[in-house]
Amino acid sequence: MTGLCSNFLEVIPIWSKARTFTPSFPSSVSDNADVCLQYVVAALRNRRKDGVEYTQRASAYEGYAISQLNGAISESREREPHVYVANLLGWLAYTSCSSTIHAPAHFKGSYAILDFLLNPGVHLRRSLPEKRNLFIFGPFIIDCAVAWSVRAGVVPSRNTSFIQRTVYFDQFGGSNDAGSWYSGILEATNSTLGNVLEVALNTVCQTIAKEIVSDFNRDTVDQALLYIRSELGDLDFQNALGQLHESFQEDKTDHSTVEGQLITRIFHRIRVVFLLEAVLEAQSVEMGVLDAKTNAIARSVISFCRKQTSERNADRIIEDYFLMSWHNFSHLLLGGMSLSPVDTPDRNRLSK
Amino acid sequence: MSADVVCWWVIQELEFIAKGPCARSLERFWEHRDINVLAEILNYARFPEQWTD
Repeated sequence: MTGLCSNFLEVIPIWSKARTFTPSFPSSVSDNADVCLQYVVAALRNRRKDGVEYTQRASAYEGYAISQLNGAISESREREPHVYVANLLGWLAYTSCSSTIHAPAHFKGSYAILDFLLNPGVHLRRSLPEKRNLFIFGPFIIDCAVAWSVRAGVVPSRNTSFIQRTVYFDQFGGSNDAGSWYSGILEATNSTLGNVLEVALNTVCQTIAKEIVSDFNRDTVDQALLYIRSELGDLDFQNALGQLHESFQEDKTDHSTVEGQLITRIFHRIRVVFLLEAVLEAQSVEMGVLDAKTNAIARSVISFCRKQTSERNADRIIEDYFLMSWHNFSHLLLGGMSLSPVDTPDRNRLSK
Repeated sequence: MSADVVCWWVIQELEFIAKGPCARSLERFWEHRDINVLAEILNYARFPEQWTD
């Protein structure tokens, strides 16, 4: 493993230890990527600082990092280090909503470098670099690019498997002594369902917008259903859900930890994914929302949200981290839209 | 559990997490079944920031 790859794996521990950062000047062009990575790590570390200080420091480090990466790419033929650096820059922007870094550009860049390394064709006339790290982290880079494309409204193709995600998340967890990562299975399940839910919801939103103007083209819907079913049909994913449910749900549910809440949210998410899949299977979104099957799933969504809501107490805000977040709000709305009050849901009557 | 009680719980829960406008949209959709209100609800449920390239 190269020094650069070691650094890549140690980003979270380095960040959390909050050491004083003193970037070294490159002695050769091959060091440029290493220095770039140090700047990215420094920017990541500053996410723990407040407002103005974070913005100033992070912007400066991000600017230095991009400058070093540009130099490294233009002056060196080694590409393996660059793929990690470019991806980490994109990931930093993605997670911190940085205005300095254009995340899509770096996700695309790292994906392009990865493609170049794994499919050399006529462009690379030497042997491939040591590939173990590429095989482990290549799927992470691809998944980052997919996550960005999903956020931008694209229906992706499935390019990585659940087991590949488990492997790279386990590598992150194994290199981390700060407890910032959960098990590979838990991280991979959460990440997979996050993407699937976003694809399903984006597709439903786009489809209803078209239906409002009498456009009933279903091409995007078919593509989205193919993606959703391919992810849900992964046997390793199904086994992971089974393990998580058996070990951490029903009478073993524990909302006193953030991890316990995250697991509950995973099962809220899978129910909402089933609901949106049912909506997409109908002839139109409107018909799908009012369908009996969707209504049955919606009652299940809301029933579990009700049963698993954390006790409301000012001293226990942290325990509500996952159950009070945007994600749960979204579950309530999506489940709620398919409910059918017996009559007109008159507010005064309901409150009695 | 009656459907009305469940619906009322959803409305209360949305108001508790400061999503009053979403609660009003849900009530309007339950009452009128208007496709435009449904589109509004679905957009509320999306991730808050849509990225553009």
